[in-house]
Order: sequence, then C-alpha cells, then structure tokens
Amino acid sequence: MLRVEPQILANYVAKGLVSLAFSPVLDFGKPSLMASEAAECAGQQNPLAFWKMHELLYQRQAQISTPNPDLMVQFAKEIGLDDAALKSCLVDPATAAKVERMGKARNDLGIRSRPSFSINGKIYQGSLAYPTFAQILDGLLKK
Amino acid sequence: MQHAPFSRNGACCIVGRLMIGDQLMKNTFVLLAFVLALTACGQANPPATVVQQDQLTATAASISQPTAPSVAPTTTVTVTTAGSNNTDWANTASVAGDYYIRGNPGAPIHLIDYSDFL
Repeated sequence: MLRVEPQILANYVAKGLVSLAFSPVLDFGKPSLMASEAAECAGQQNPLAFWKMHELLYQRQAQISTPNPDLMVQFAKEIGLDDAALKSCLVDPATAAKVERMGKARNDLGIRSRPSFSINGKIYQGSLAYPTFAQILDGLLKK
Repeated sequence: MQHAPFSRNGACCIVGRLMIGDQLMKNTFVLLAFVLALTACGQANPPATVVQQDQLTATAASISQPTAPSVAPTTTVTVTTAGSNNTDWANTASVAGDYYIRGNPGAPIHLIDYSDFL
C-alpha cells in the first residue's frame, strides 16, 4: 500500500502535477486476486470508482483475508456501484486474465519488493517515506 | 503650442551688431563675446518644423511599442501551467491501457504503485 498516498494526493495529484496508477500485486494468492478483481470491476463501471474501491479495500483489509465475492459486492453497494454488474464481472474470466496479466508485467520488470513504485519509469523497490517521495517528485518538477 | 518666435532672437542680434560696430576690431575679448552672443541667438531660433500634437503622440506611441519579433511565429502554442485551473484532479480519473489513472493524465510525473491489497 502506498501509505503516503493521502499526502501525495493533496500535494501533487490534486494540483495536476502527478498522475497516479495502481498495478496489482498478487502475492497472497486468491484473496489478492479477488480484491484486485473487485477493483477492476469497479473501474469498469467508472474509472473513479476503481479508486473508491481501492480505498475501501485498504480500509477493510482485515476483512479480505479470504476470497469472498459477496463481500466485494457489499463493498460495491457501499460506494454506490451496480452490484449486479460487479457480481457478473467478478466471474468473468477476462477480469481475472487482466489482473493476472498486470501482475505478470510487474514480475517481468524484475520487481520483487512490495510495495514498489515507478516514477516516470524509474523503479523504486520498497517503502518510501513521504520526504523521500517529495524529494524525488520536486526534483523531477524542477527539470 | 504657440511661441513668440523671434523676440529673443532679435534682441540677441541687436547686441551682436552693437558689438561689431564699436569694438570688434579692437579687442579679442569682445570678439569672443560676440561669438558667444551669436551662439545664444542660434539656440533661440524657432523650430523649423511645427509638429502637431497628434504627431507627437504617434511618435511617442511608436517608441513605446516593444520591438516586433523579426520572424513571425508559424504556429500558435497555448501554454497551460499544470494546476493553474480549478480542476479537482484528485477526483478525476481516466483509463490508459490497463491502468485506471487518478489525476491529470497530462501531468509531468507518472507514478505507478505496485502493491497488494492485502
């Protein structure tokens, strides 16, 4: 998890200086896959809903230690999504295929640490404190 | 603007003529004074050309204009500073390939978070 995300959102993303993307890591097997699929299905309904689901999944992280489609549907209702559409999306093989493809792409980049970050294509493996992020981002903005 | 163009000039010329008649050939000092008097008369001459107020204004305006570029631009480029408008980028999302992008898709920095939800 990008623990410093609220600060980056407020100080860089909100100002239009940084765009943020999320690439799923599936280190915990089926629960990881189910959560990532739920986020993907939310995004299919609305790109911003991906990020709402992303936040909710982290907030309820303790509840998603086992793959539970009903819980994902409940999350979808909480953020105002079409729960029936999300349910059918979760069982669509194309959803799992996309999430697994993204996970493989991360592995193909040689990224092994969790979390890791790509900032304008440069890979940073392991957690970074906010001051380190700020230093990197400010340095790029000055160029 | 109107002037009394020759009044000062005429007085100076009279002084010059008196100097010529009485002392010019006797004293070099007076000659020098004469030359100085003629110089003063020349400075008091009226302008040869009357410049209208509108011409002055036009001249002043042309001087104050910035110098035009020597080569006219062939392409008009609109420069927008990132974050200069009121877009709520933190609540703006788009799709780029497999990614759901949060924020300004044209931002100078693209950050990808490789993380597990668990």
